[in-house]
Amino acid sequence: MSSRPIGFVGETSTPVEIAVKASHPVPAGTYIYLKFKVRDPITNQEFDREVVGIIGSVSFKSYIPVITATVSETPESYITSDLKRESYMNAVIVADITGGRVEAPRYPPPPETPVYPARAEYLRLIYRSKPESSIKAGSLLGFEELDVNVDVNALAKHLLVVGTTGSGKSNFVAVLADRVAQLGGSVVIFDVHGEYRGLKSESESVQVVDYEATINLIKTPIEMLVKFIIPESAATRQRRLLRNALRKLNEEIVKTAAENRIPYSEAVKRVYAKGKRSENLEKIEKPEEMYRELLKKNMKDSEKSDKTVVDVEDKVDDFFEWHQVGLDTPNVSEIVGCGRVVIADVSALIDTEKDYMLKVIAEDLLWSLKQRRIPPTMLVVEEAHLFISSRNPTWSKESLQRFIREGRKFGGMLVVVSQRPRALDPDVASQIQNFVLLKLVQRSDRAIITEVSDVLSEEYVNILPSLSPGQAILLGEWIGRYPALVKIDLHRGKRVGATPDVVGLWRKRLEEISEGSANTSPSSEWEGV
Amino acid sequence: MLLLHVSDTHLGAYKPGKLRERELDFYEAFNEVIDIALREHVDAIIHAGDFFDEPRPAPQAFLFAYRALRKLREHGVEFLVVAGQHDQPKTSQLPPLRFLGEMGLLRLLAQDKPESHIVKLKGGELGVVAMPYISPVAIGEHLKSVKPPEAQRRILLAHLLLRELNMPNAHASLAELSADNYNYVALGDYHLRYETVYRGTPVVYPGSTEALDVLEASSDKYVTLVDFSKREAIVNWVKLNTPRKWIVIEARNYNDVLIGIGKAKLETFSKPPILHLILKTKQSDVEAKRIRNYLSKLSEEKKVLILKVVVEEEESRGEALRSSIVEDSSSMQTPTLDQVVYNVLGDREIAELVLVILRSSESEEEVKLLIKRVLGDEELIGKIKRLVGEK
Repeated sequence: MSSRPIGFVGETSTPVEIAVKASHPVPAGTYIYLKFKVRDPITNQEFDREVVGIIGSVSFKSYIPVITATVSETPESYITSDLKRESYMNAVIVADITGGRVEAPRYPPPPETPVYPARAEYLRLIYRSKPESSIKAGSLLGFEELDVNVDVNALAKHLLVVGTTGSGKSNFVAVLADRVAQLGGSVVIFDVHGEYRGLKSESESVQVVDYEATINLIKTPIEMLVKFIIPESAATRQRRLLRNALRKLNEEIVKTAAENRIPYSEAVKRVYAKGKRSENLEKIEKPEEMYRELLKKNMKDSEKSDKTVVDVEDKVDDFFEWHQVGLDTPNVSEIVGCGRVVIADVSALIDTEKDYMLKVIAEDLLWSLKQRRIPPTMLVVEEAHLFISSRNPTWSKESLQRFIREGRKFGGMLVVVSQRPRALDPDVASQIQNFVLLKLVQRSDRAIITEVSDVLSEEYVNILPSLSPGQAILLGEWIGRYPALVKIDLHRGKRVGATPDVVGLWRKRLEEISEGSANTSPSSEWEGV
Repeated sequence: MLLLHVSDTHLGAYKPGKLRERELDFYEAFNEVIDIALREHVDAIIHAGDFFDEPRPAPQAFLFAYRALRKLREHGVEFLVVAGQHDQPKTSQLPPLRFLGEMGLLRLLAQDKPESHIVKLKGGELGVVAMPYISPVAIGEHLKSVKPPEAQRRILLAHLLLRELNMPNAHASLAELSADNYNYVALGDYHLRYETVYRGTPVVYPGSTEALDVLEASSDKYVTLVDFSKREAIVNWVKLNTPRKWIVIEARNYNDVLIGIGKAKLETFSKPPILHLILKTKQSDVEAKRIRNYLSKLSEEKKVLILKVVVEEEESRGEALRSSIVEDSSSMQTPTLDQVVYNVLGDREIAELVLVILRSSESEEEVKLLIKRVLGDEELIGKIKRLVGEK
């Protein structure tokens, strides 16, 4: 062993967890290597074991009470006082690599065994992968030369990505989506904040498609539209009026479109033109506005009570004023394809509509997968705690649950991304079997992760608070039997700075204003008055 | 910079009815397009595919295209075109548009795969991504390679069906085409006019210049003028006047037919319209005969060009009427001499014999006389038949 030990095994050890004592701590996440002898009590034979592990929690402890009067103010005292303090570390044993064969660790390393920094060749034994179905996620922490590849096939058992804001979740998603597409895969990102828009692929072979999610007035089920326009469930009379008017109108539009083989927007124009001749409807140009007017006319025709009609009309107007609606907009399943990343930008929608859009997208994809109309597809859901919430009922939750349950058989892969795992419904989360754990500080967040995952032991979770942005623990079937501490690759094509430089923007704006005012002479503003 | 966007001219088509008049209709509509281009002093016509109706156009279609395009060339108007599926030969034959391109009459921007061009026009440079017809299965791969050219004004000129049209066999949606990368998206393949805006970019199907199908019957025909004097494209629709009109009548009986024709005001049409009659119920033999006679009269008086009768209710008597009327309408299409002689004599060999005699005659008078003699005399026909039988 050429390198010096970083410490020694402490008083207690188990096959999977050891205490390490050292005069100086090493950073959490350091890979370690131990070699020790074990005696078989039955045969009385002695043999060597070699194991590899990761340093988890790190601490310092002083044996002499720290009293300010005794503390020397000269910096050299740090060296001389080595004797009175000690570093305490916990480490997880990842795998037994004796003789080049990798297996689960079964023997506790004896106390006082020296602990060395691990070398690349040991780690290479553990993290091997099938190249034809895997993608590179990053490199092993501290080992730039050691690629960490993950098996995309294993994502049929879905993926949970957790980490605080700024821990590198969206960079990871960009890397994952892009490289899965480079492999020929099909990916849909449900982009809650519009941060993936304009994503550039690392490769020429990938097409990134921006899909602007809108509420399709014809393809959306009537019941949903009613809920959007009249959110108050108590307004049964209003809802009934609206429901009937919508049903009548949509039936007519669908029939007209089918008979003449025209798009829905053209069908709306024809229905409107027909109505205009008899009813003196106003001359307007946008088919969406025509739809609105036709809807209002249908309501007036069927209801005698003026008050109800006026109330619903106001709500219809509000809805059209504030929502992105469309008549010809295609479904996501019509756009997905091999080697393609579809970014469904829902940032312009309000929360309930996002929820609905996600339901539509998940159901549309699952249905198309079952019909074998689309290739196996990965659906990435950002801010998943909003939709798979343990507290609030949502429309999309049931659809996502079904996607997780049934998607596996049909090639539907769900990637759940969240910064607040504690708010995720544990029933849903517990069905996910692959993990990317980025920096997590809150104890309750970490606790829920151990709870939902069968494979994650508490020792790993303790590493999470001390991870830097872009560092993550990968575990689950997709990485193999042994968790890896990884530095995720940086995706070059994603706009950096999901968090904007606010002060910079202010300053720029102020400069523009001062330049602008310098150019216009004050007197010119009064000309012509 | 001013462009004229046109598509689906289908030169050489003669639908419905296989009539010469119909073939001329398609040429006339194209001539009107050329006239508009010259009147408006456009820099270029951009054609989004299906220039010809078939990949082996008839010589007269070629001749017509040659004359029209030569006129444009003389006035310095560029003609930019992509190939539609009708312009793409299925064999290794030379694509017809390539031939016209070789003659310097047009610029074929893309024949079988997307290409990116920067075209120099009088008004400046125009970046064009040109996409010919590509099968819906293969288009995904091609879309990856599409890169908009570096130019101030960029257009996409493509022959494809948008998903937004809600039709089977669609190619791509505007999102997949990254339509917002262009200042104008010029499309072809869909025969009705359709206009939408995708993230600020106008997207236009001008539609065909002549109707090929009753589904196009109720809509007027258009081309668009694309004004590029600013960077944003401003779209102006120009209605075509020459395309032949259609009358679509749904009728339950003879009376309905009369009322329908009356409402249509046949005398107001500059060209005799195409009549498309949909019979909704079964007709008695008497009623069917009345309808048939009335329609024949309209056709003979050149008040309508073609009759097309569809019986929508499939019942036994309805079937009978349909077959009889459809036969009628076929004989109403300017019958050839061969057809007439063959129909009367009912025997191919005798008919050919008679035709030889007829054709060998010198004067028209003589032919008329001969026809009258033969057709007017049942006995003579019988004799000829026997004669041939003995032969």
